Amino acid sequence: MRNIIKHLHKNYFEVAAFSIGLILLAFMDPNTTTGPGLCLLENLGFQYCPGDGLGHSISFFFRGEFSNALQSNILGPFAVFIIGGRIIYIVYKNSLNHNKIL
Amino acid sequence: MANVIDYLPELEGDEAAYISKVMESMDEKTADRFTRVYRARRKDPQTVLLTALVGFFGVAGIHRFIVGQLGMGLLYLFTAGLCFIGTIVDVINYKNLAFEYNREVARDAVSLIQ
Repeated sequence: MRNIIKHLHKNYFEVAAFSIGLILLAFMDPNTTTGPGLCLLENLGFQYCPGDGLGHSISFFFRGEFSNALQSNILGPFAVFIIGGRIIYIVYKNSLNHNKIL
Repeated sequence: MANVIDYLPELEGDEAAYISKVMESMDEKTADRFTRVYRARRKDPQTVLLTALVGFFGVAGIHRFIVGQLGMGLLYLFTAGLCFIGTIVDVINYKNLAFEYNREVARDAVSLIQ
Protein backbone atom coordinates (compact mmCIF):
# COMPACT_ATOMS: atom_id res chain seq x y z
CA MET A 1 0.00 0.00 0.00
CA ARG A 2 2.80 2.37 0.97
CA ASN A 3 4.61 1.53 -2.22
CA ILE A 4 1.54 2.22 -4.33
CA ILE A 5 1.06 5.65 -2.73
CA LYS A 6 4.76 6.41 -3.21
CA HIS A 7 4.59 5.34 -6.84
CA LEU A 8 1.48 7.44 -7.50
CA HIS A 9 2.98 10.49 -5.80
CA LYS A 10 6.21 10.09 -7.71
CA ASN A 11 4.66 9.79 -11.14
CA TYR A 12 1.25 11.39 -11.07
CA PHE A 13 1.22 14.15 -8.44
CA GLU A 14 1.58 16.92 -11.00
CA VAL A 15 -1.00 15.33 -13.31
CA ALA A 16 -3.47 15.02 -10.42
CA ALA A 17 -2.96 18.60 -9.22
CA PHE A 18 -3.39 20.18 -12.64
CA SER A 19 -6.29 17.92 -13.69
CA ILE A 20 -8.21 18.66 -10.49
CA GLY A 21 -7.64 22.38 -11.09
CA LEU A 22 -8.86 22.21 -14.67
CA ILE A 23 -11.89 20.04 -13.75
CA LEU A 24 -12.89 22.44 -10.95
CA LEU A 25 -12.62 25.37 -13.37
CA ALA A 26 -14.60 23.50 -16.01
CA PHE A 27 -17.46 23.06 -13.54
CA MET A 28 -17.26 26.61 -12.20
CA ASP A 29 -19.80 28.97 -13.73
CA PRO A 30 -17.86 32.09 -14.72
CA ASN A 31 -20.99 34.21 -15.14
CA THR A 32 -22.44 33.74 -11.67
CA THR A 33 -19.17 33.42 -9.77
CA THR A 34 -17.73 36.82 -9.13
CA GLY A 35 -14.81 37.70 -6.92
CA PRO A 36 -11.90 35.52 -6.00
CA GLY A 37 -12.90 32.15 -7.51
CA LEU A 38 -10.02 29.76 -6.93
CA CYS A 39 -7.29 32.37 -6.60
CA LEU A 40 -5.25 31.81 -3.46
CA LEU A 41 -3.92 35.35 -3.23
CA GLU A 42 -7.32 37.05 -3.45
CA ASN A 43 -8.84 34.57 -1.00
CA LEU A 44 -6.13 35.65 1.42
CA GLY A 45 -7.37 39.22 1.12
CA PHE A 46 -4.97 40.83 -1.32
CA GLN A 47 -6.49 43.14 -3.89
CA TYR A 48 -4.25 42.40 -6.81
CA CYS A 49 -3.05 39.15 -8.36
CA PRO A 50 -0.94 38.95 -11.53
CA GLY A 51 -2.90 35.92 -12.70
CA ASP A 52 -6.08 37.96 -12.44
CA GLY A 53 -8.98 36.43 -14.36
CA LEU A 54 -7.08 33.32 -15.39
CA GLY A 55 -9.54 31.00 -13.68
CA HIS A 56 -12.52 32.80 -15.21
CA SER A 57 -10.77 32.81 -18.55
CA ILE A 58 -10.20 29.03 -18.50
CA SER A 59 -13.79 28.54 -17.33
CA PHE A 60 -15.12 30.66 -20.23
CA PHE A 61 -12.86 28.73 -22.59
CA PHE A 62 -14.39 25.38 -21.56
CA ARG A 63 -17.84 26.84 -22.34
CA GLY A 64 -16.74 27.93 -25.79
CA GLU A 65 -17.06 31.66 -25.10
CA PHE A 66 -13.70 32.57 -26.58
CA SER A 67 -14.05 36.36 -26.70
CA ASN A 68 -15.03 36.43 -23.01
CA ALA A 69 -12.11 34.13 -22.26
CA LEU A 70 -9.60 36.39 -23.97
CA GLN A 71 -11.09 39.43 -22.26
CA SER A 72 -10.74 37.92 -18.77
CA ASN A 73 -7.11 37.02 -19.26
CA ILE A 74 -5.28 36.89 -22.57
CA LEU A 75 -3.28 33.84 -21.45
CA GLY A 76 -6.31 31.68 -20.47
CA PRO A 77 -6.71 29.56 -23.62
CA PHE A 78 -2.94 29.20 -23.98
CA ALA A 79 -2.77 28.03 -20.37
CA VAL A 80 -5.27 25.25 -21.15
CA PHE A 81 -3.17 24.07 -24.09
CA ILE A 82 0.15 24.25 -22.22
CA ILE A 83 -1.19 22.49 -19.11
CA GLY A 84 -3.07 19.91 -21.20
CA GLY A 85 0.07 19.25 -23.20
CA ARG A 86 2.09 18.84 -20.01
CA ILE A 87 -0.45 16.33 -18.60
CA ILE A 88 -0.42 14.29 -21.81
CA TYR A 89 3.41 14.43 -21.91
CA ILE A 90 3.76 13.11 -18.33
CA VAL A 91 1.27 10.28 -18.89
CA TYR A 92 2.99 9.33 -22.16
CA LYS A 93 6.47 9.41 -20.57
CA ASN A 94 5.32 7.30 -17.63
CA SER A 95 3.88 4.70 -19.96
CA LEU A 96 7.24 4.57 -21.81
CA ASN A 97 9.38 4.42 -18.66
CA HIS A 98 7.37 1.64 -17.10
CA ASN A 99 9.77 -1.17 -16.11
CA LYS A 100 12.52 0.21 -18.27
CA ILE A 101 16.02 1.33 -17.38
CA LEU A 102 17.15 3.44 -20.32
CA MET B 1 30.83 -3.26 -12.59
CA ALA B 2 30.80 0.30 -11.24
CA ASN B 3 29.25 1.32 -7.94
CA VAL B 4 27.34 4.59 -7.95
CA ILE B 5 28.52 5.49 -4.41
CA ASP B 6 32.15 5.54 -5.57
CA TYR B 7 31.49 7.73 -8.57
CA LEU B 8 28.52 10.00 -7.74
CA PRO B 9 28.18 10.11 -3.94
CA GLU B 10 25.97 13.23 -4.07
CA LEU B 11 23.00 11.37 -5.58
CA GLU B 12 20.05 10.44 -3.38
CA GLY B 13 16.89 8.38 -3.49
CA ASP B 14 15.33 7.56 -6.84
CA GLU B 15 18.07 9.21 -8.82
CA ALA B 16 20.77 7.13 -7.10
CA ALA B 17 18.76 3.95 -7.70
CA TYR B 18 18.26 4.81 -11.35
CA ILE B 19 21.88 5.77 -12.01
CA SER B 20 23.17 2.67 -10.22
CA LYS B 21 21.08 0.59 -12.63
CA VAL B 22 22.51 2.55 -15.56
CA MET B 23 26.10 2.12 -14.33
CA GLU B 24 25.73 -1.55 -13.48
CA SER B 25 27.14 -2.87 -16.70
CA MET B 26 29.85 -0.22 -17.18
CA ASP B 27 33.56 -0.88 -16.81
CA GLU B 28 35.79 1.56 -14.95
CA LYS B 29 36.74 3.74 -17.91
CA THR B 30 33.19 4.14 -19.21
CA ALA B 31 31.90 4.83 -15.73
CA ASP B 32 34.52 7.55 -15.34
CA ARG B 33 33.48 9.26 -18.55
CA PHE B 34 29.78 8.87 -17.77
CA THR B 35 30.33 10.41 -14.33
CA ARG B 36 32.06 13.45 -15.78
CA VAL B 37 29.38 14.10 -18.41
CA TYR B 38 26.48 13.41 -16.06
CA ARG B 39 27.81 15.53 -13.20
CA ALA B 40 28.41 18.49 -15.51
CA ARG B 41 24.91 18.36 -16.98
CA ARG B 42 22.57 17.26 -14.22
CA LYS B 43 20.48 19.72 -12.22
CA ASP B 44 20.55 19.58 -8.44
CA PRO B 45 17.06 19.10 -6.94
CA GLN B 46 17.97 21.73 -4.35
CA THR B 47 18.47 24.33 -7.10
CA VAL B 48 15.01 23.50 -8.41
CA LEU B 49 13.52 23.86 -4.91
CA LEU B 50 15.21 27.20 -4.21
CA THR B 51 14.27 28.73 -7.56
CA ALA B 52 10.70 27.45 -7.11
CA LEU B 53 10.59 29.19 -3.72
CA VAL B 54 11.58 32.47 -5.40
CA GLY B 55 8.10 32.26 -6.95
CA PHE B 56 6.59 33.28 -3.60
CA PHE B 57 8.53 36.54 -3.65
CA GLY B 58 7.90 37.76 -7.17
CA VAL B 59 9.40 35.95 -10.13
CA ALA B 60 7.82 32.52 -10.61
CA GLY B 61 8.77 29.87 -13.10
CA ILE B 62 12.57 30.07 -13.06
CA HIS B 63 12.73 26.43 -11.99
CA ARG B 64 10.68 25.43 -15.03
CA PHE B 65 13.14 27.20 -17.30
CA ILE B 66 16.00 25.42 -15.52
CA VAL B 67 14.53 21.99 -16.24
CA GLY B 68 13.94 22.98 -19.85
CA GLN B 69 10.17 23.50 -19.87
CA LEU B 70 9.88 26.76 -21.75
CA GLY B 71 6.09 26.84 -22.14
CA MET B 72 5.37 26.14 -18.48
CA GLY B 73 8.08 28.64 -17.51
CA LEU B 74 6.47 31.44 -19.50
CA LEU B 75 3.01 30.57 -18.18
CA TYR B 76 4.27 30.63 -14.57
CA LEU B 77 6.16 33.87 -15.17
CA PHE B 78 3.14 35.77 -16.48
CA THR B 79 0.56 34.38 -14.04
CA ALA B 80 2.66 34.42 -10.83
CA GLY B 81 2.92 30.62 -10.84
CA LEU B 82 -0.78 30.08 -11.69
CA CYS B 83 -1.74 32.29 -8.73
CA PHE B 84 0.79 30.49 -6.45
CA ILE B 85 -1.03 27.16 -6.83
CA GLY B 86 1.47 25.94 -9.42
CA THR B 87 4.36 27.15 -7.27
CA ILE B 88 3.05 25.20 -4.26
CA VAL B 89 2.60 22.09 -6.43
CA ASP B 90 6.20 22.39 -7.64
CA VAL B 91 7.65 23.01 -4.18
CA ILE B 92 6.08 19.68 -3.13
CA ASN B 93 7.10 18.02 -6.39
CA TYR B 94 10.61 19.46 -6.90
CA LYS B 95 12.46 16.16 -6.63
CA ASN B 96 10.43 14.60 -9.41
CA LEU B 97 10.90 17.62 -11.66
CA ALA B 98 14.67 17.39 -11.23
CA PHE B 99 14.64 13.61 -11.64
CA GLU B 100 12.59 13.86 -14.84
CA TYR B 101 15.23 16.18 -16.29
CA ASN B 102 18.18 14.16 -14.99
CA ARG B 103 16.81 10.94 -16.45
CA GLU B 104 17.00 12.52 -19.91
CA VAL B 105 20.52 13.76 -19.13
CA ALA B 106 21.60 10.24 -18.16
CA ARG B 107 20.14 8.86 -21.38
CA ASP B 108 21.99 11.49 -23.42
CA ALA B 109 25.23 10.87 -21.53
CA VAL B 110 25.08 7.12 -22.20
CA SER B 111 24.53 7.63 -25.91
CA LEU B 112 27.31 10.25 -26.00
CA ILE B 113 30.05 8.14 -24.44
CA GLN B 114 29.40 5.06 -26.56
